[in-house]
Amino acid sequence: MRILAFDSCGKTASVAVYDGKVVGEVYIDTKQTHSATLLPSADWLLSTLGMKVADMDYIAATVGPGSFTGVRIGMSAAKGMAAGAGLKCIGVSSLYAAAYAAKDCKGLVCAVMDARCGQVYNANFKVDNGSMQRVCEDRALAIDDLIDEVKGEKQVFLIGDGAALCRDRFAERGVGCAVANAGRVGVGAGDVALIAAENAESAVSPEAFAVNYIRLSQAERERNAKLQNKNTEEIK
Amino acid sequence: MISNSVAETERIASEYASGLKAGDVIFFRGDLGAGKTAFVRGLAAGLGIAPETVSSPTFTFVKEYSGGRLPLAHFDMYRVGSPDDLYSIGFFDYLDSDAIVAIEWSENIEAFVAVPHMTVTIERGENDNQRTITVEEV
Repeated sequence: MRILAFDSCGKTASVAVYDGKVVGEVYIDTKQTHSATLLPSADWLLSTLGMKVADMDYIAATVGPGSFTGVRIGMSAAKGMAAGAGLKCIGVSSLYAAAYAAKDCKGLVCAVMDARCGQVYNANFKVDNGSMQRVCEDRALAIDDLIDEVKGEKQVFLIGDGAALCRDRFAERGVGCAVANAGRVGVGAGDVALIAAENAESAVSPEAFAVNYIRLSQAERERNAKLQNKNTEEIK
Repeated sequence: MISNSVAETERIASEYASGLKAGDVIFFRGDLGAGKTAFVRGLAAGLGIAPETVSSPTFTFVKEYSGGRLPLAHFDMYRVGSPDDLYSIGFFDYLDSDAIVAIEWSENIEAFVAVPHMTVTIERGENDNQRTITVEEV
């Protein structure tokens, strides 16, 4: 099975090719916009491997949550290539893909991506030497709410582009945690490809390939609305 | 600072632009017609962007200008009311870039955006053409 996989949901961009194993991966962590790096990376990787999009069986991509523009760049690339080559798409949660790099740890892995406004996109997984069990759906919540939820856990691992942000807040609150895979903040598309290979039966047509935006949490929005009203009154 | 004309506002802004660095965020306060867009036009000129290309992004939320010393992202938050709105106009993505982010009607987002920024306030002066321009670092 051959898969071309993309991730550009967070601060980093990555492309990988899977052919029974991960045979190549490009990973970019700069301030360059993903629209400038993702397709040249795919082009370079495929040509270096002597492959074409038409040689693939599937196109995989992370479908969110994450940056509005980033999610759309990766999804558009995947949809366009799949449509052109007559392939199906496999969607992967960006948080699951982030947590996947910590699957050999033992404890609770909190995948976290910076959602701004004091919130993170988050999903938690019970991980034990290679097995991953999802504890909650992908969601957006305040960092403090995440800390309240997991503070009783024996061992918490943070992973994802929000890990450093959360670690600082965990430390301020006196709650222990470790950052997993700290040398690399973003998702490697090789992991996206590996997850896609395990879930090939979930492939859909490019037309049906859908983004998973997650809205900032309701409670937070109401609080913000109140704050804003207050603010507007002060201005008057 | 006191400005006595649109041209003077643009010149003040152009000089101000020379001190800006990648990723700086500027909030603008001032009524309709105060000269916020004129100030941004001056900023563009100071960054080496053709000032005549700058117009209000009221309907598009954001206009992006490249080709200068630094990119400039010019936002108008007049119709923005929630973090979701900000998310879906791609606002947060600009904060991660090297662009100077200039925000008109920043009052609408101050309740939920906590980023280091400068505030430029433009108030009407003693006559129709006069403005008082105040810059604060937050």
